[in-house]
Amino acid sequence: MSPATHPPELRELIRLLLVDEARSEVRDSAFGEIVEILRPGDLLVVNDAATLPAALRGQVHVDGEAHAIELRLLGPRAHDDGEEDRDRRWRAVVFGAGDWRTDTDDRPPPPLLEPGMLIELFGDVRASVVSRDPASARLVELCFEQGGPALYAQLYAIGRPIQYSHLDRDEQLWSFQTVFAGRPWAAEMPSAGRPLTAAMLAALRRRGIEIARLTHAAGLSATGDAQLDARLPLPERYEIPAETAAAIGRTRARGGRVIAVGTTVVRALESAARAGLTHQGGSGETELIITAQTPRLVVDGLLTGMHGPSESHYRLLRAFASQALLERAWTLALELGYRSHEFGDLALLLPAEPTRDSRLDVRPAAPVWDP
Amino acid sequence: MLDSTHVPLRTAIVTGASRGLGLGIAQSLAVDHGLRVAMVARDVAALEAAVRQVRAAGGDAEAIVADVADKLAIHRIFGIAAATLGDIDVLVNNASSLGPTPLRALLDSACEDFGAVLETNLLAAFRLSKVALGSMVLRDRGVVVNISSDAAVEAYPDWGLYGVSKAALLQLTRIWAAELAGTKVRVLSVDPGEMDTQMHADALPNADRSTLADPNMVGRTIAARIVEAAHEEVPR
Repeated sequence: MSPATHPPELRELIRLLLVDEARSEVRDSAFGEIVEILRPGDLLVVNDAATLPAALRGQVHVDGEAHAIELRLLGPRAHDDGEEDRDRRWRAVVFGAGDWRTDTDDRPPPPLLEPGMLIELFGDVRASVVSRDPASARLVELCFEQGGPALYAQLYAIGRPIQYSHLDRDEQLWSFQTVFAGRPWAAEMPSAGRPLTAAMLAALRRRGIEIARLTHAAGLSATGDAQLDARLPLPERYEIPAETAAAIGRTRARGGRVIAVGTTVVRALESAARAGLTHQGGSGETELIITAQTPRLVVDGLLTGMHGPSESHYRLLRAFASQALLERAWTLALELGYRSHEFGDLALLLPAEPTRDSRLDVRPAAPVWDP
Repeated sequence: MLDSTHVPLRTAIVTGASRGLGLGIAQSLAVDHGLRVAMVARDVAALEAAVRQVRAAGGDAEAIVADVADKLAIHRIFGIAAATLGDIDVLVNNASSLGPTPLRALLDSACEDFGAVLETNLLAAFRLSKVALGSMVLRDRGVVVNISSDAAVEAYPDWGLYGVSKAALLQLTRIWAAELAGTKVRVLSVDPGEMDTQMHADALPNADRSTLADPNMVGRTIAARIVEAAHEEVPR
């Protein structure tokens, strides 16, 4: 499938493929029709993470020789203390020389970073290497010289949004934001929410469809390292507000469906359910990988970008539709010229059975899942 | 009427916060009402002094050095504030520019100066509000205040650039409020009146300062108005 090479002229001007398992139906529509496709009583849950300028260029010295590198920040580590020191430590993926214009897989590998090594980023920003992942040399933990607001001021001064070579121009950070973005937690835009306009959200509410939010630190979609790509998505932090937990409860009580806007929302909600957080809300970091075999405890439907069988997100889609139906949908989308990636078209996956673990409803405080 | 179920406001962004009314509003929000406030201004030294003043008074404040008229600074301002303080509940668009002083008649005003005044007084407020309001609407809470002036409605000679920008800002406020009717998010315009500020001295150097209001007192009144607006129950 061809990727969308730039944002649509208006954010809502994309196609929506309805993939309805109960009716064994695959149908093409304009995205705006989602207001009519969803039913009064349904709950739409969005990820309100804003996108960070997470791509930073700089250099490291190895054996006296300077090597150009690019860092792609995944997010701060949780264990920091003190206000000024807050968010000093970050997880990041290191790329070799060059930038997003080169295909990620064709970029030269970065030099091997050793703990204690100093990374000099453009704009006089420095970080030291704390540790390197034992299985993937590109995955590192860093410590910046400053934390708190001073660090964020630096990141916004020198960072660029993470981009890939399918784009036809260098985009500004605002192209990678949803209408409702709040705290900048996402390395890459939670893109399924991008086409939603303020007017559509208001129209959905008027139709009796509730809108709720969570914040999930969406990570990278590609690392340039096949071994690391196979581990995606990496652990990501999330936060479920108490109001959202309450909205899920109301939706279940009235027989409505919980529809996730994007795979990050599925990961956050299903992780929260397994951590016993879907009743009062809460936060955590999740390592959950969702596949066809993962029982869905909370999420009854998924609004998602077009992900093909070769992508890590495809496994997650299989929790919402059979392989046969997904193949049918993919074939039709190709025929109709659907576009993939962050500015592309969307699909709404509605499984036949809104599977949910009834234990969630009766034992709020108890752990409901023992992996 | 007060809505007792309302969650208190926790965070704010105030532009033009290094002095005058902006500093007064930021200080009152932080000290009198306990909000964590991101204070935005261009001048590093003045802003840092202002932040120190608010902290010394017991308030929680952070400095964000930026020119709101620079459209590339908008996501930076909001991002730093939201990353540091959490979801933003209050935005005060206070930064504004008179254009060249002494004030000049429209016939003597340059188009470029008009453009620059509109960037600061109108488009910056639009851009920052656009970034902040989406999250407020999603959370169904928040207050945006645009600082107005009687120059928005009276046709004062020599106040053309400023007056037109403030008239447009007032209409922006009104339309935004109309579009968000039915939510709990408030978009307000406040006319602070004539105050003893640097900006006033730049515009009217010969004014009798004893007739001008103290910007800190006006800041307190506006901060109280913001808190009150967040708690007003409006029929949905």
